[in-house]
Amino acid sequence: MSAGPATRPGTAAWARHAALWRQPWQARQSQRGWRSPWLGPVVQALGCIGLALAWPARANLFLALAALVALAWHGWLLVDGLMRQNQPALARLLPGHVQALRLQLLAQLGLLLLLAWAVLVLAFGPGRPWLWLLLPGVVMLAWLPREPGLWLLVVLANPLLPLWAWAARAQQAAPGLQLLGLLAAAALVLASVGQGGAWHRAQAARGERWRRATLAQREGRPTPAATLGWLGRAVTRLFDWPRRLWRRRVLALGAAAPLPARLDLGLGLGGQWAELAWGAVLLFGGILTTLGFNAAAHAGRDLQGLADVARFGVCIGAYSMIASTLYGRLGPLWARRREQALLALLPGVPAHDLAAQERRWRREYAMAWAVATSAVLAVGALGSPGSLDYVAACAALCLPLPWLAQHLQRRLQGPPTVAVLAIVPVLAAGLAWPLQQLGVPAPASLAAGGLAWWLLARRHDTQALALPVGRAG
Amino acid sequence: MNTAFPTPTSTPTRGSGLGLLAQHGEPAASVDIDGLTLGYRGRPVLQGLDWRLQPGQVVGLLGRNGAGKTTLLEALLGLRDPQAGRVQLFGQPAARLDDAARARIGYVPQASGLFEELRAGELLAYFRSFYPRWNEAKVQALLQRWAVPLDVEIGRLSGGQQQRLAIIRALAHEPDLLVLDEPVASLDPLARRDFLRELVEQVLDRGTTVVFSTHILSDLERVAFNVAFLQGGRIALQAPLDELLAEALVASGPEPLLQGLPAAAVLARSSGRRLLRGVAESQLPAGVVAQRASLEDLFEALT
Repeated sequence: MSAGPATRPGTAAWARHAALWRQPWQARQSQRGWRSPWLGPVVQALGCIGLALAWPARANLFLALAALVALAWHGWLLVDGLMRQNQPALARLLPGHVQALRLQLLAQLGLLLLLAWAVLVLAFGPGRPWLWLLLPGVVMLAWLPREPGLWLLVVLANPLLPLWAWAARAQQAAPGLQLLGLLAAAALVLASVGQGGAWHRAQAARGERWRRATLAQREGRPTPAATLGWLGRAVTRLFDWPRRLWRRRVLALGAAAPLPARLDLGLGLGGQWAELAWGAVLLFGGILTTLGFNAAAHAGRDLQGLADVARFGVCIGAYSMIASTLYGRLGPLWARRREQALLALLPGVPAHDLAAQERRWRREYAMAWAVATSAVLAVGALGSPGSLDYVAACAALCLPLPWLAQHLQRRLQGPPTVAVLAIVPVLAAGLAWPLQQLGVPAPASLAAGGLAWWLLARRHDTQALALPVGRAG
Repeated sequence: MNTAFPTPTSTPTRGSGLGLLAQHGEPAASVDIDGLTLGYRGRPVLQGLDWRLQPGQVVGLLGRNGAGKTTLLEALLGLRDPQAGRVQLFGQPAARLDDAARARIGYVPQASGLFEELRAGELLAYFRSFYPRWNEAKVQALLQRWAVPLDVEIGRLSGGQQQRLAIIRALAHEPDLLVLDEPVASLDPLARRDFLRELVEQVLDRGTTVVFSTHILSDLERVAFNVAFLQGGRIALQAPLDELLAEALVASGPEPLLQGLPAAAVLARSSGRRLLRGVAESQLPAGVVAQRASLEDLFEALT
């Protein structure tokens, strides 16, 4: 038996580090749509650059902001990628794995800290305690993949903690104390890498459950109850009980339940509206309660001005909510093709002709649109002249959405991209503004929306109205 | 035996044994496939496949991983549109079955964790609402025998429990055609034995046509009266299993002697070995050694 080629220990260590560093990037590149994680930071950076061009006097602020967000995002991807490799089994069984991960994490976060510090110094000068402000953030970044709940701590505690004062004191502290602070931060970063103990195993199991739940949600599959902790189950039950109630009722009726309702149940689409209505009650109930308290506290405040400001958010919110049922249908339609194989063989199921089902979906949307439009028109009526025209234009632009959804669902050939549908209410809210400026009256907008619906209903779509069962992914 | 047989030389034997061609006046075949061609992204999977299953036949479908067993079963049920060819179930086009024909079909797909958000009882209630016939007594008996809890979400059942539930669901409406894609893969040996017993009872009692794919050859020997070997996108051979095991021989010897064997009897060939059928040991030339072929030999040679 011949031995393998001899490798010098130093070379092996570097190869291990290189592999650790490369792995997350290779994994991301092999994923479908790997560019999407960069979409947000790129859009944000472009926005910041645009602002810098628009306000040259504050250019350093906007450019620094863009650079910091990009660095934070890059840092998150690095840390997340490294921590995904920090699996309990590997930590226990693979000699040197934990040490290599720790060294990588420390080196990369150290570099990130220096770069962020340099950005801040270049943008705002060296006079402020940037290093000491950044240090807690970097430590937090190292721990977030293992303890995502720390986000909550950041959000809640950040305004309460005197970070500036602490950082200023640290800046002025003796060098020995400063060194101690740096060493403590480094020790915390190193401690974030688990060594395969009971705590690490529990965290890894919880992380795996969350990943499975997130994946299921992204693919339009129901989130398996087993992947939710008790808190996740409690929150889910708070929102999805109308859907479960609806399901129980349909099942109790058995063959007496309408076929479209039974088909919706099998397709994992039913009960959306009951759930949406309950969500709307929770959301708008909360908003109205807050506004009620606010109005009581500021009696006599200009209601018209409030409505003028609120109409944008109300339009986007209301139509996004009802549109969510449309794009929320695409994911399950694609993801549940295996279930559809069984449905297609059931007597009475029109697997090759879903026209009736689509009519039902359109009808449901039209009803929800009518309710949402009544609400936004009420807000518009409270606002200044022209406000009503604005909300009506927005409503009219959102009316034909089910036809766009139908177009997409008939042509499903892979996991759906819902961005097109999700962005329409935002675009509508943007386009309604020039329409208001052009003086398009509310009745004309609504009539145009109705006409568009009528024309689309008469259009002949050559694509078959069949379930996507049997289509390859 | 570790014989590697390349492409078999025999043509598909439609109608061999129980798989006889339907004659005029006979009832429509449960499954009738002619020239089925289907592929994915330019890669052919099924290539001009012909297959016919008569009422009451029990056929085990054998093929290597990726041979196209699942594709064939899905196309057979009309769940995949053929690129060429014709698929008929009970005399109707598989893609356009009427409700009466669909009520006669039971299907257990390879994936068992379906409808994960429903409880087992809800799933059965859901399917019951569609079928005109539903044997509740059988469902309850199987649920009890296979210890499938009704009040647990399917996503939280074990793989074996999910598989058992899928089988109960497929048997509940007493189908005339039962299509099972790897039905026993997730079951423990006892559940497999129970399931196979149930399958045999179905066949004996009701004359159900059963087609199932499997890799577990010992299970096949227990229940399949017929076996069909899928290779190269076609059914390479279909025959009654006991007949095949009784008739098939693995012959080995010097190549010149083997080349003298009647071509019609050779099912598959490799250097120094032949898989033969329909030849008695006494008919073999001196110098050729023959032994009975096992199902493993047949699987190895014909898939």
